[in-house]
Parts: sequence; structure tokens; C-alpha cells
Amino acid sequence: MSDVLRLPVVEAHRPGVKANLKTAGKMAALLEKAAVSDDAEPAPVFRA
Amino acid sequence: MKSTASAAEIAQAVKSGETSARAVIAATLGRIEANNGRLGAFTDVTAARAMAQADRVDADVRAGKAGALAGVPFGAKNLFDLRDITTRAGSKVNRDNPPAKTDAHLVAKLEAAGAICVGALNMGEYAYDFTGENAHDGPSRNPHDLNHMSGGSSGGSATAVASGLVPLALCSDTNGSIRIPASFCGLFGLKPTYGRLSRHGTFPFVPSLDHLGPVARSVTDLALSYDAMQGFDEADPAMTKRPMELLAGRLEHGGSGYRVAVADGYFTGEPEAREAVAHVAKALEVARTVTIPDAAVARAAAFLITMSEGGALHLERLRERAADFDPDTRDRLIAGAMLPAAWIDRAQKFRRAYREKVLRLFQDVDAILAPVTPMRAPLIGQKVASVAGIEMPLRPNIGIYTQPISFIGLPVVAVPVWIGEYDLPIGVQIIAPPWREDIAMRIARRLEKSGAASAPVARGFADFE
Repeated sequence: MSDVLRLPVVEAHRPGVKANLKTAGKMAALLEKAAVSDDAEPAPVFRA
Repeated sequence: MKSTASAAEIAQAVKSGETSARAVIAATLGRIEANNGRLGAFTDVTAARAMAQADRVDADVRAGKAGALAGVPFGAKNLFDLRDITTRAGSKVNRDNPPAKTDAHLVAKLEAAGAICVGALNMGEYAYDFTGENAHDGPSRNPHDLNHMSGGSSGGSATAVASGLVPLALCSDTNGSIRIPASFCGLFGLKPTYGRLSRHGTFPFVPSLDHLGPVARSVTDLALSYDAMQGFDEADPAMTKRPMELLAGRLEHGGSGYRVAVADGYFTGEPEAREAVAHVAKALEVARTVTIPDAAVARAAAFLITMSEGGALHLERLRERAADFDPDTRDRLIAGAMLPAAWIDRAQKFRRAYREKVLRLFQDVDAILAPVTPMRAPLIGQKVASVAGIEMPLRPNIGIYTQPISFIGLPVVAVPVWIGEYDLPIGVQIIAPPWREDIAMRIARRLEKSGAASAPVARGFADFE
């Protein structure tokens, strides 16, 4: 993925990046348990 | 004026001729000079600019044109543009940028009301922290105990106000960065409704979550500054065109009679936070509870959107200058740049549905109480803490109670409480429906009047007159 993004991740940075991706994965797992219907509209620009 | 003087008291004294803006600013600059080294609050002090503005304010007073904030010194988190100063946003990378040509919109609005900017304030790198620690400028320290965190990312703002260097400071809040420093440093903080105040002239973090607002030591000072900063600005595409809703003269009307409930479930897990909310609920004679649905999922969705939008914002800087970032910030942003679009799309879809569910709660209640932080201010350098009975990384978990609220842009006033044998405060969120800052502010004022919430200048900083 970093190659596609042209975002080199040097060896020293990889443990930290991996740890953050792991945390993000846990958050995404929680999100995927929530019901979101196929016709739900996203809120890309949010207005209160 | 004493370091304990409020913005309202300073403005009154300047307008009445009891003192001058020049004298106020000279004293302020002296306090900063004497104390900033041990506090780490200011990164830039704009002394010449401040004295020039003080002379303009004194001339306005003599001409009978004094503003509501005449002579009131304030600082701005260093992601606000200040003309002739480089907007560093807590980073090393941005220091190579040219100085700002003009002031941020809110800085200009405050100065138009007679306030005087005395400098830029320390913050977490690119606003991506909850601790008040900065790898390049050092930490902003908690004036109530210098070994403890100020909270982030608006740490320098809270440090400056809690130590009495200034009565008022500007902050940003993406996931809690007004409310968390207010909690750790014992201040009142206002995070208005998303879209209420213009963000023009500030360095962004997560545009769909970024808010701006003040911290102060009194609710009246919050109201005075909030009133001065309102008004439509077409330069911020998220801004509302609603008319201004001024509060300073209306705080004493009401405050009781509102239907208030305590958020249960997700928001009750931590003992110190639970005690703080119980203290406020008792003062307000509130027994009712309400469940904010899916708060844990909302926090997760806010977390992912923050990582992704933040990573996207900084992609070019990460490509070119990764070594110049704070390692903790860099690794989160790199990971954020690589998150799957499917997660972010789902988070945004969930966001709309979650908002609808939470807004339905406000059919039956006018305000909801919830903790700001899971704990009082941790020690500077602390990396882990017990959250939900489990040792967890501290930095990302300080915002567990603030993220589900700012995620949908609701207005919040953070109020500081002092309970038990502790010398450190902790904050409680008063959450209101969109555009009803007045409800949260009136309830905060009622708590302040009763003594249940207070924001004193830290001991050791109130006595150096």
C-alpha cells in the first residue's frame, strides 16, 4: 500500500505504523458490527 | 490588574479609566516573561504588536468607542494565523513556511472588540494528541501541578489561562482539544456547534470535525468572547448563516427548569469521571439518566475518520519529511493514510444515522451530562493508563468521552469540578442540542454561581503581583 501511495515507510517506523493499523482494525471491527443499510447516505461534509 | 482578574473585570477597568490597556499589557508581558519558562505555555510572544494594539484600544476608550473586551489580553493556539508569525501548528515542518500575512478570522474578531493578542500558544503536533506534550517545543505543563499534563491538543491555551498569564485563550477541538485541556487544567471551555464559528485562517486537522472556541476562568468570559467571535464568514464553507445569538447579557436568565439527564452506560466506566458527573448532577438536582446509543461505535468511527482525513492532509509532508515529525504523530498519520476507503465510507454513513438517533434524545431532554476525561491529568510522559480496568495506551484513550459528541457537532460547555482529596480538577461536559449553546452556558453559569464548578488561578501563580 505504501508503494501505491508513494509513501515510503522506513524500517524504523514500521512497528509504530503496524501498531496503529492494528488499533484501526479493532475500531473498524466495532464499526462493522453496527447496522448500516445499503441505502444509507454518507455524511462527507457534516452540517449540525 | 491582578493575575486573577477576569476578562470582564479587565474590560470594565479599562473602559472606566481605572487602568489603561497599555498598563494591562505591560503587566501581562511581565508575567509571561517571569513564568513561561517553567510553564511552556507560549511559543511566540508578540510584545510589540500587543503594545501597539493597546495604544489603539486606549485611544478608542478616550474617544468613547471602547469594545466589550477593551484591553483584555489573550493568546491563540499556534495553529491560528497571526500576521508576521509563522503558523507552526505544533510542528517542526511548518516552521519553514512564510509568516502569515493576516490574522485568523477569530483573532481579528476578538481584536475588533478591543481584546489584545499577546502571542501564540503551545500545542500538540498538528493537533493530534490529547496530552499537551510537544516533541519540538516541550510540554505545556499543568499549572496546578507542573509534573502533570495540561491536556491536548490545546495544552498551551489551558496552561496560560489556568496560570493567570491571560484570562482567555483560543483553542481548536477536533475530538476533544478544548474540553480535555479544560478538564485537566480546571477551566471552563466552550466548543460551539460545528459551523458556528469561522475557522478561516487556522491550520486544519480534520475538516469535517474541526471546531474552534475559547477557554476561560469564568462562564461570563466565555460568553463575552463567544459573542465577539460570532457572525457569518463566507471563507469557511462549513459556516452557518444563522443569525448571531448573543449570550453575555442572557446568562442569568434560566439555568434552572431545563430537563437535564446524565449519560449512562458507555460514559460511566471510570470512577473519577463518574464521581465528577455525580457531583454536578447533585448540584443540579438531576436524577434522570439517558442512554446515548452506539457511543462506542461513534468513538470508533470518529477515530477512523480522524486517522484517514489527517493522513490525507499530511500525505505530502509524510512523503518528504517523515523524520521531522513527532514519531507518535507520524506513525498514526502514516497508518491513517493507508486505511481502506470502505471503513471511512461506513464511518460516514454511520455518522449520519447516529446523529439522527442522538437528536431524538433531545425531544425529551434539554441537556446531557457526561464526563470529559476518564481521569484527572496524568503525569507528563505517562504512556499507559487503566481504562475500563485494562492497561491501555494513554494517548488515544483520553478522548473516549469527548469523541462521540464532537463527532456530530453538538455544542458543549466543559465545567471544572474539584472533589475529594485531590489537588487536580476534572471536567464534566454539558451537552446541548445543535445551536443551543445558550442552554449549556446557562447551566454552566448556574453551577459556577453555586460553587459546584470553579476555575481558580493555580496556587503559586495567583500571588506574584
